Parts: sequence; C-alpha cells; structure tokens
Amino acid sequence: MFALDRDHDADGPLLRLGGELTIYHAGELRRALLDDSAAHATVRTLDLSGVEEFDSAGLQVLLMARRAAERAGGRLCLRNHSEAVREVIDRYGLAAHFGDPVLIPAARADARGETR
Amino acid sequence: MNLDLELARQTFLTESRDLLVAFEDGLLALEAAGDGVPVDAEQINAVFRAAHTIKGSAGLFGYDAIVAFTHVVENALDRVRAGTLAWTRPLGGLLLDCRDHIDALVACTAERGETPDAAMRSRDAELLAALQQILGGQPAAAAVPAGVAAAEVERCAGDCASADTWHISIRFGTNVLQNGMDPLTVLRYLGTLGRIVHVTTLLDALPEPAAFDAEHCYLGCEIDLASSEDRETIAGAFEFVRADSVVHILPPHSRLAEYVELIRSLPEDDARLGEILVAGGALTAEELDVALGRQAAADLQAPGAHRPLGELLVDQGLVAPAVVETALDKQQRARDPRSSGGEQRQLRIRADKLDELINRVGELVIASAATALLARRNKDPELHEATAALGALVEAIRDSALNLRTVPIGETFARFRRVVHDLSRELGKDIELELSGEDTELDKSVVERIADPLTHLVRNSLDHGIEPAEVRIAHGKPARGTLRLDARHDSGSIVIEVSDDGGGLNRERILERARERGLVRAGETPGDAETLKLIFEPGFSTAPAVTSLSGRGVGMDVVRRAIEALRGSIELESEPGHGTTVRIRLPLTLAIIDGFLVGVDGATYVVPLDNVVECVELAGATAREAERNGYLNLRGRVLPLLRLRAHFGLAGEPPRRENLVVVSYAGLQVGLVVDRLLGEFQTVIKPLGRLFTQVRGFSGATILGSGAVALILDVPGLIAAGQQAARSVPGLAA
Amino acid sequence: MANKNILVIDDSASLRQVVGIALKSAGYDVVEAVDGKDALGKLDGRKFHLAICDVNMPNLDGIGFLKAMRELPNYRFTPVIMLTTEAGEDKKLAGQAAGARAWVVKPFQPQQMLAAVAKLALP
Repeated sequence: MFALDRDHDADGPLLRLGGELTIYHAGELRRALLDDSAAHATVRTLDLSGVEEFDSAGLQVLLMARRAAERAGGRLCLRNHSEAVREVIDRYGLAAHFGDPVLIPAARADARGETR
Repeated sequence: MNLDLELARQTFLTESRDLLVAFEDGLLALEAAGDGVPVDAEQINAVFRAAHTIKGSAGLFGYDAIVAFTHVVENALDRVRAGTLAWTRPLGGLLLDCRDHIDALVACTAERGETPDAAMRSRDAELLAALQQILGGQPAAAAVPAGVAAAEVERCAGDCASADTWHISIRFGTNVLQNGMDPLTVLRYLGTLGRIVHVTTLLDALPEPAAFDAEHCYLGCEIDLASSEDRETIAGAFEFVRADSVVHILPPHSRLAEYVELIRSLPEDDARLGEILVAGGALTAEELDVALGRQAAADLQAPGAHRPLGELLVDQGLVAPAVVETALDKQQRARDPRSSGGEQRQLRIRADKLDELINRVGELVIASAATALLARRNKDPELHEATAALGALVEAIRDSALNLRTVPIGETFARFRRVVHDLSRELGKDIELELSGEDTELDKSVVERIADPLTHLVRNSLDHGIEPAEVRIAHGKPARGTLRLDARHDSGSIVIEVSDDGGGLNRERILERARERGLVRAGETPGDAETLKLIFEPGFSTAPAVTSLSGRGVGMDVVRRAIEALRGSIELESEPGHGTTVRIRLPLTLAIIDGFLVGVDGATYVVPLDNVVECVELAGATAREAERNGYLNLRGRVLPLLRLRAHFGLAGEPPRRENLVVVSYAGLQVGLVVDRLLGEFQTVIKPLGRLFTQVRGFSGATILGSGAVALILDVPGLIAAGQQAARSVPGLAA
Repeated sequence: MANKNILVIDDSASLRQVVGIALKSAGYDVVEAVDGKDALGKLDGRKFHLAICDVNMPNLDGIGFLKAMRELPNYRFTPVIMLTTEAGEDKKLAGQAAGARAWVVKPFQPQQMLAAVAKLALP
C-alpha cells in the first residue's frame, strides 16, 4: 500500500507520503511528484513520517523530485523521516546531500545545507 | 543431532527410494521401446530429474560419494536428453547397474552412516569407467571442490596505499531493481562482512526527469570497508549484481597505480573521484598526489607506448580458488552417525494392508471381550486374571494399530490455499486464508471423508460469507477478508472450525426463506440457535444470486449429512457483521469405540462410552417424577428423557425398575430410559448395510461376544430427538 | 519486526526440509511449494522477501514460474534464487533472459544457501 495526502502548513502546501515507497509503487510516486508539474512548483515539503518501507527505487524518485524542485527555482524539504527512510539514507551516505534535518538539530543542518 | 535434521534425513531416504523406483521405471520403459527409436522426451526427462534430485539433496546432506557418482550418471542422461548420446540397450543396462549402485550408496552413507568400503569403491570406479567409455572424452571432474584457497599474496611495500580498508567501486546496472536485486541489500550484506567506513553515492547517472524510469537503477557507490574477510567473500557480496553492474575491488594496501587505474576507468571526473578516495580514507592526500604524479610522469616518458592494461589492472575479474568453507562444511554432517541405526526407519505400507490389520484387531478386540465375559460368568479367578491381562494387551495393540492410521490434518488444510486463491480471484474478492492446528492428527479414513464437506463450507464462506471489498470498507472492516481453518482435539473428538470475518448470517432472511419453504409455520418465531440451524435443512439456500460456486443445489444439509455419516455433528455460530463460525465435531476414529451395553426389551444396544455421563436407577419418587413429567430434575438441572422402548416402537411391558443412562453430546444432555445396564464392552463398528441407511437412531452395528448383533445408538440423533420431545412438554420449552 | 518470508520451491521434499531448517534457524519464515504450479498458488498476496526456486521441476518448471511470477503485480520484483546444476547451461541462459540473476548450483551446503540468501534478504 502507498498513501499520499495533500496538506498545508505554515510553509505552504505539503505532501504526506506513507506506506510502501518501494519499486512496486515507484511509478505512482513518480507521477505524483514529477509528472504533476503543479505539485513540484508549489509543494515545499514532503512529510515522510508514515513511510513504512523504503528502497532504492523510492529513494531515486525523491532525489528526482528534489532536483525538479531546484530546477523550478524552489527547494523541496524532506522532514519527519521515518526509521525506514533514515536507514536507507544512512546506508547510501546521503544525509548530507539531502541536507534536511535528519538526526542533527535543524539549525546546524540548515547551515550544512547552505555550504554545499 | 538436531531432531528436525534427523527427520529430514528420513525424508531423504524415502525420497531417494521413490526416485530410484521412478528412475528404474523410466529406464525399463525406454528399454522396452527398443534401440534406434527416438527417445520419449518425458520419459528420459523423468529419469534425468530423478538423478538430478538425488544428487541435489545428497549434496545438501554432505553425502559426497552419492553426489560424485550420480553427477556422472546425470551427465550421461543429460546428453541422451539433448540427443548427443544415442540410447542403446547396453547403455540402458549400464544405467540400471548405476541405479543399483546409487541405491547401495544411499544405504551405505545415508542410512548406515558409513563410508563406502573397498568393494563399493571399486564398483564405483568400474561403473564410472564404463560410463566414461560411452561418454568418451575427459574423465568426469570431481563434483566436490577439493581446492584450498591460497592466501592473499602480500602485495608490496613502498608504493602501496597505507589504508587498512578495502575500496569498492560499483556502478549498478539499470536492470538490478527490476530483477529484484536492490543495491541496498548489497550494502546491507557488505555491512555484515565488516565495518563500512564510508559510502559516497554517485548520482551522476540520474537522467533528466522526462527520461527517468522509476523502475530503473541509476546509482553508483564508492565504498570503503574495513574487513578481515578474504577477497572471494567480499567479491561474493556482488555475486548477484555483477552480471549487470561494473564492480572494482581494491584490497587494503593495493598499489597506488591500481587506484590510478580505477580512477581512470570510471566515468566520473578524475579529480572528484580522487577526492572521494581521500574522503573515504582509501588514500591519503599525499598518496593521491604521488600516484597521479607518477602516472603523469610515466605517460610523459612513453607517450606513444601505452602500458598494457593488464599490468595495472586489478585482478578482480579472476576466479579465486574455491572457498575453504565448502571443504570444511562437509565435516558437519547432518546427523550423528550413532543415531543412524534402524530404529527410526520409515516404512511405507499400502493402506489396504493397514485396513486389514485394523479390521483384524477389531475382531481381536471383540474376541477378547467375549473371553472376558465368559471368564466373569464362570467365576474362575485365575481365568479372570488371565483375560484381564489379555484385555490390557489387546487394548494396547488396538491403540497402536489405530495410531498407525492417523495422519495430520495439515495436508487437507493446505489444499485450501489453492481453493481460496482460485475462488477469491473468480469472485473478485481479496481473501486471506489462515490455518492453525495443522498438526492435529486423526484417522486417515476420517481425513479422506472430511475433505468434501470442508470444501463446501469454505466455498460457502468465500461466496456468501465474506462481503465484496466495497461493502467491507463501508462497514469499517479491512478490505481483505479472512477465512480461518482450525483443528484441535477435544475430549475424544476432533473439532474443526471454518470461520470467516464476513457479514454473518441474516436471521431475517433465513426465517423468511424457511417460511417460504414451509420449514417454519407462519406464526412461529424460533429462537436464535434454532433459526441458524434451519440452514441445515434440505433444500435451503439464502444466496440472493446463484453463483457458479455454491449455488449448484448442494446445500448445507448435504454437509450436515456427510458429517453425521462420520458420526460427527455440526454447529454454527454467527454474529451479524462480524462473521460466521461453523464447528464440526468428529470422532477420532471410525473403527473402534468403547461401548456401554444396555438392554431394552430383550435386545442389546451399545452406547458409545465417550457419550455416557452417568447411570441412574429409576426407582421410587424419581421414577414417578419421570413418568409424570417426561423430564427429570437431576441435581437441580432439567434433564429431558427419551424412552428407548417407546422411541423404537418396541412392544412389551417395561420392567418394574428401569434405568437411566445420561448421555451428552456437544453440550446437550438427554436421559435414555432403558431396561437394563449391562456394562462396558469394546466394540468394533460394522457399518450398517445400505438397507439401513435411512434408519434413524443408529450409527452402526457390532457383533457381541455371544455372536449376537447389537445396534450402536446414534447419540447425537437421540439427543436431538430428546430435545425435540422436551419442547413439546408443557412448561419445559426454553 | 516479523520474520522475513521465503518461498522454497523444489520437488525434493528432503531438500525443502533441510533448506527450511537452515532458513528457520537463521530467523526466516518458510513456505514450501513442490513445483512451480504449487508455488503460484502460494502467491496469494502475502509478502515474500525472496523465492528459492529449482529450475528442473515437473508441472511448471522454475523458469516458467519466474515468468509467471513477474506478471503478478505484487510479485513483479520479488528476488529469486534459482537452483541449477552445472549441466544446465542452456536453462541458465533461458533463466537469465527471464531476469534470473541469482544462481546457486546444486549440490550445495546449507551454509552456502544461507550466504546466498543473506545477499538478497538479511534475516
């Protein structure tokens, strides 16, 4: 199962992703995050707290979504990483790349994000 | 050794015997077809598969002698199968000899736990030589790797990297995800071989969004690993992705030149890769400078003459010697040789032979009971003692014999996986099957006859019980329905439950239908339990749509009859909105019961002892109460009575003092009024002839020690009749 | 967390038993199937982290099973270890065409199987 809820917070529209962000749903995820141009132009934040399963395919779509947001002149923040997401990002040594507050306090992570 | 492994070894023995039979049958069929005739593909394939399976399983247990020999036989068969080796009679004969030899090897190594003796080894060599002659060419390679890995050669001093870590560079193939090989599993596995010091993931291969295929893999990693494993093991981590990916492995203290070569061979920018190597600790900054500087110098010195690639190339592509582990593992035999005596051997017996034995044991039980009766009558204490001892032995033999025929219900249950799978697809429902109590054992004859009624119940639950997903979701239930099969022993019977988490039975619709069918009179409204029981009436069906599954006119009444024919009973619980449970109660065996003899009007009847709760003498006030009311207040509980004399329509006057046998079944009790109590007696059930199948109240017959026939009372049937009668008694209706 | 679920498909009962014992002792849950056809019946929606499948089997062989499994939406990407023999090179090509990448050559020792399994699904 794969879940996607649209929501709002102080920073603007956000998407809550949940369930299995795996290759079985990578196509759907891609359509939601990449093909829907309205989404990546406006959505600022992905909330990952509900992600139960995460694999390389899921990771790649998130990487692509970030890249698309950057191209559009914005920035896509990942937040509330679930345990499953953290494990994968750590394995790949990509915590610094995402630059989002993963385990490190938010202020310092932002600083690191800026220097890259 | 491990009990499970011992069981597996028994399975191997049985299985290889079966396969050797198949092997032989196949060969004989091929021989019968004659020379020159094209070989029947299915036939030769069966023979090949037999050899293949024996070899594969024997290897798992470490029976190397079997593996080595069967390997050559398998090769020969493979060539016959492929048509590169002609089938001839001499070849057939030789293969039959080989079969016998495999049989002997199985007996020697797997059964007795011995190593083949000299005679067997020379037979081995003789047959292999003969096979080789037919196969021609090279002698067969030993199937068991014997090599020992050479130690990693100490590389060099001076020009080598100082880091103590392995450096691994991998670019995963586009297809790895689609083939089920997630790079993450590789990284995770690598983590078990040592400590991953550093990972840099390269995202350079990620394409433009439009060209991005979410199921393709675009990742690459530079990994630094601290590990004391050998190269073979570390390379092994990439075994399953290697075909699609590009992998470079540099052991600790590799030559600086090798790092240079690596950097050059990778698609990414050299300077960046150099940084990555330094960041990960594979090289120090100085080493990197030295390496790049030296390489540049070498290029300058001989600009035209490129050094051969191989000189610098890492030898990661070479096949390293076989793992030592394999050779060592052979020592860990699957079992302890001491336990390989014959005491746990399995023997497979034809079912009819077993049935005959059980039948004979049945006769023995009757004869023994008759002898005991005689001894009692003669009042000879010594004879009485002797028959008692005999009786105990006979009882033990009876139990052992019946035990031979018990099988776990698991196999029957497992068949429903497929049924549920197919039917849920056909019905467009998502249904999960949960099994429990698969180990519960019961008589084979019962198992065989329970499969059909169970299938019907399962179909019913899938079809009518579990609602379509939309309905379930609308009711706040999970979209996926659950069907549960459970079995357990419960005081002399086995209880099988089929339950679903569906919508439950609709009482109103049942009543409506029952009225339509005239099963319930217009004004009457039966109680809840009674209403549910109506669905077991003939010709009853509440399904709004007749589907291909359950609407074929086979109703629950058929199920009930099938269960009752097994001396069982069926009951039903249903909670609206939450599901239905059908509970089947069956005797453990159909063959023999402990009976209690009672006499009514000169005839003798048998009540299954399991059902007897107590016996009460009907005399004085109790008798008058019983006579007046048709029921008895037994220690504060109302006990409906059933006069067998009246129930069976027997003429004659009852004796002055009657007796009461309280019987119970599935939580209900009835008092059977009989003339005399005659005591316990072991009984072998003889099925009633076809003629008597319509007779209610009896479940079978038996032959008494005196030679007379006694009918066995059908307690569930009588209880139902007793309860029915009680309802007609004023003031007793529930 | 629940144990990972592995489907073991082989027509040899003793092989299934030994592999099953090894896998269970390593902390996996095991479901057995006797051939490809039987195995397809076990693909009833529950999650399998890995399938171990013999190539040469009656009814439906390993490659047929793999192809059929790759058609099922819930099992399209399930990793599969194929069991083969040295003699089965032609089958190996067919298997590779069907997307099989992990091969374990029979006969193997339980430890070898556990190592192969760990590469695709750690317990």
